[in-house]
Amino acid sequence: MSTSITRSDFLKTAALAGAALGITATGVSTAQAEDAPADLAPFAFTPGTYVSKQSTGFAEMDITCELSEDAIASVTYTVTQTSRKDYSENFRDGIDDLCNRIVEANSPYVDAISGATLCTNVTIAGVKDCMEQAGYEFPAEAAYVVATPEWLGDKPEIDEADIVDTTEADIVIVGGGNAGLACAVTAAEGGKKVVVLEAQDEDNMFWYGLHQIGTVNSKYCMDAGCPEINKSEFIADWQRRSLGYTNPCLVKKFVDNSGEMVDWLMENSPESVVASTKIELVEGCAEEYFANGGDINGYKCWKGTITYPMNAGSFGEGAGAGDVAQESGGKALIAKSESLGAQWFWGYKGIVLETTEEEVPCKIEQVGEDGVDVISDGTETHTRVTGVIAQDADGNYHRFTGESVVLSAGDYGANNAMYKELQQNQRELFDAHGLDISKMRTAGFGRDGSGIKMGMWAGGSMDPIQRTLISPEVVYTSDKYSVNLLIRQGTYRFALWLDTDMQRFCDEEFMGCFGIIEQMERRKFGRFYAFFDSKYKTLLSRSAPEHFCAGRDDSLDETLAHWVERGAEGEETAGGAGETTWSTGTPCHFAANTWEELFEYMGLSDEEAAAAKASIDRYNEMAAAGKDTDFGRDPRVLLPIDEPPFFGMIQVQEKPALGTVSLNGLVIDANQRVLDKNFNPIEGLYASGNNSGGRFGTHYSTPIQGVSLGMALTLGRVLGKELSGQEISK
Amino acid sequence: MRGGRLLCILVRQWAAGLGFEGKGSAMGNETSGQATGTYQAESANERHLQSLLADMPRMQEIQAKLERHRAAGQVLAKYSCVDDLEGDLEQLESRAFDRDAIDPKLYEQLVNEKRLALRGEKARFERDLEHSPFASVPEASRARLSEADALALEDELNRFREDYAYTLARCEADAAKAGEAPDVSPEA
Repeated sequence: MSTSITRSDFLKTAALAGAALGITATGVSTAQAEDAPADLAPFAFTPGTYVSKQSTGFAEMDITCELSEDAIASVTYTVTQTSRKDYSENFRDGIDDLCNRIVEANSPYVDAISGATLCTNVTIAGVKDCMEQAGYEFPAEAAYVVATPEWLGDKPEIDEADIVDTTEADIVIVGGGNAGLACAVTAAEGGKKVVVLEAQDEDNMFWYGLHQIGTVNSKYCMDAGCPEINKSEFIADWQRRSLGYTNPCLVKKFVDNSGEMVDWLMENSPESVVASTKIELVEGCAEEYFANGGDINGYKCWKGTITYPMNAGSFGEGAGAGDVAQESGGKALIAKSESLGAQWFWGYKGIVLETTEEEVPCKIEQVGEDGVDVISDGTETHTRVTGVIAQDADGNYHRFTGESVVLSAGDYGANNAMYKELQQNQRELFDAHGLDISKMRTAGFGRDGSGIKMGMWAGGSMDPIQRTLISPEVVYTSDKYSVNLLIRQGTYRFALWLDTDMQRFCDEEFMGCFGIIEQMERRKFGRFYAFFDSKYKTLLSRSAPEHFCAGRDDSLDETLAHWVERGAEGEETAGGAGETTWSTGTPCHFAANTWEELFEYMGLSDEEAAAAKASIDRYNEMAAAGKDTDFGRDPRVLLPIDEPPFFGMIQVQEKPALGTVSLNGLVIDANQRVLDKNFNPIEGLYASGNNSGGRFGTHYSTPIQGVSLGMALTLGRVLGKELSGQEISK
Repeated sequence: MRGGRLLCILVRQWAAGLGFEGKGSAMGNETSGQATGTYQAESANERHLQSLLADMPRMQEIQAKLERHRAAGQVLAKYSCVDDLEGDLEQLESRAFDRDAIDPKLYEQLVNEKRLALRGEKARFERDLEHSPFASVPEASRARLSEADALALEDELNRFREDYAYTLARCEADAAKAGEAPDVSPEA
């Protein structure tokens, strides 16, 4: 049977029930509740007279409020200073009226007065400031809510009881890859207590990349004959290629410090690692390119790239490198860092950052309707990172605290959800070709983007578009056709390319392999055709030595001679002894001594052959004239295709190129501090390597090979120096 | 999670005991310090508070649903790492992958790295699953709401909280004005 209860018990029960949902009653005045506007909690002031200093930009004003326990009793103002001659009585009348209306309404929320917007705004702001001084809390203004991206997901909540221990350090580095390793060793050299959280296990630690490391003006490379690079020219070229999307301050840091980084790297490498290190482009590569001035279509390339065995056994025989490395350069650096006190936690993966927030005074600048700038005092939320929660290989959680946390956990090239969402260029290409986006996936290289997600949960944001990835067709997944056997020989650059209609469609040499890929991906998919002749070595030597350039490959002559031998059969793509291997499929590579034979081998119809020949003839005419009147191919790489044997290659484009490594990340400043959405640094949080943005613009066309790793190692080392108070080059 | 369900039951009992749906019945839990029985509302604010209290069990369910949604998100995020790595390995080992594009030793290292990473991610995932409210990935998937649904529920819950807090405050102010200031601290 139900019984009556008192009001007091009812409210007590209601308060308890509310607490279950985290609800507490707002502070309430006994007299005011019924009269307060619906969107404003009742007043409960500490009675008194309060003054707020405000500025309109042309006048300084003191707003004075008398507040009783539950009401705005009076509002007055004093103009303490003004530079405006027309500060007329009309304005004063307007403000007087406003003050009266605020008192009458017992609320700062009254209609603004036309013609006195700035004064109106600061008067209202002053009244609200006085109310806050008297203890009133205004409800938070409705914020523009951005839904959490699907790929990001909710910030993990780790139960305190699940955290098994805490480790303190000066610097906590999440990820011991190229950037994290350089940062760790350097910061330890600078005397900092460093902790590195590495998801891989110690015995099988593997550094990503092909370990070409691009650098500028290292003693190591210059002693070997690389000319000194004009730094400002280099930076200008970078900005031109990236259309201004990158941060020139970061690029400059790379340019100013990469030489020192390589010299330091070599000084700290075991002899066998040094012996296995190769300096690219020194001999037999791109010689005519550099002799011709070192640029194609205004884009320059420079020498200064080394190939360094970060991993043991990095190089196979015949790759043109030095000895196969028996030791790992990376492991030697780890040993050095440990000798300096750095602790490596193997199998530990960073899960989430721990943060604190505080309201910090700031100036808020607004332009009023009359065009006058108003700067007023306000606050904004600043975030500080205090540590990292990591999960070990057994699933246990650990806390690491430090004054600085460095996110260097690698790219998101192996995270399909991030890849699909963030690589909108690739996604839209899939869509544009009517392909199933759900089947779009990364190439299997790369990391899972966990470092980027940690930074995002702490308040960071992603590099705004364009979002770069390395996507030459290194990984060609076709069940039907053999792969492009000459990808590494830079075929894309020197050949004459025709589309499915046997029409030439672009300057093939523009921006290295990325230029031709971009063009092919924006055309009807199907067969593309490449033609060249026996002058391939000359063209290779003249082509820009960008990423995936020809380099020096002594096996090329042998490879192409085999095409000639194969004749109508086309280049054999099956493995030895007839076994089925990855490269089986319709042959796509042919050679012959006449065009007629070549077209026949390639299976072209008479019409296709005639159209192809017509395009080749036109190209040859332009080459003979020394001017590509169609697409402006640089005359230095415009040679007629007229000396047999002739080579023909079918490139079957079935889908946009798969991305390997993603090169965009968190928005950072020139000091690699992760920025929040007000572009304020998140205190104590840094991102380097492929966790950071601002380095690459539209694609991976760069003035030197190996800049992804070059930047990771250089900027990682720069960060280690800066965090430990060491000087950097400027 | 279990605590949330218990609270939900308690609130439902309060609501039922207080007769907010016109079904006044005693809760019989005097030791908890919570009064049971019906209360004759005297103002619009109090009637509104009664209706909000009656809605409290549903709100508790929404809160529990959102908590499960978030917990499922964490489990599924770990699972997606496992899934991605399995896919990567499958692709790397498929016949269509151009192994010649990279050095054979590098290729082997890459595959090895993926295998080891997969092992680590599986261990992390399994640990998190074990400590989650779910027995399996399908169960977690079923608990995951669409983004739109989750946002709508969060919005509804937040609006309820604001309304409740404000209405309770007004009722307390009324009571104080009438000289019946209750001790409303949740600990009371």
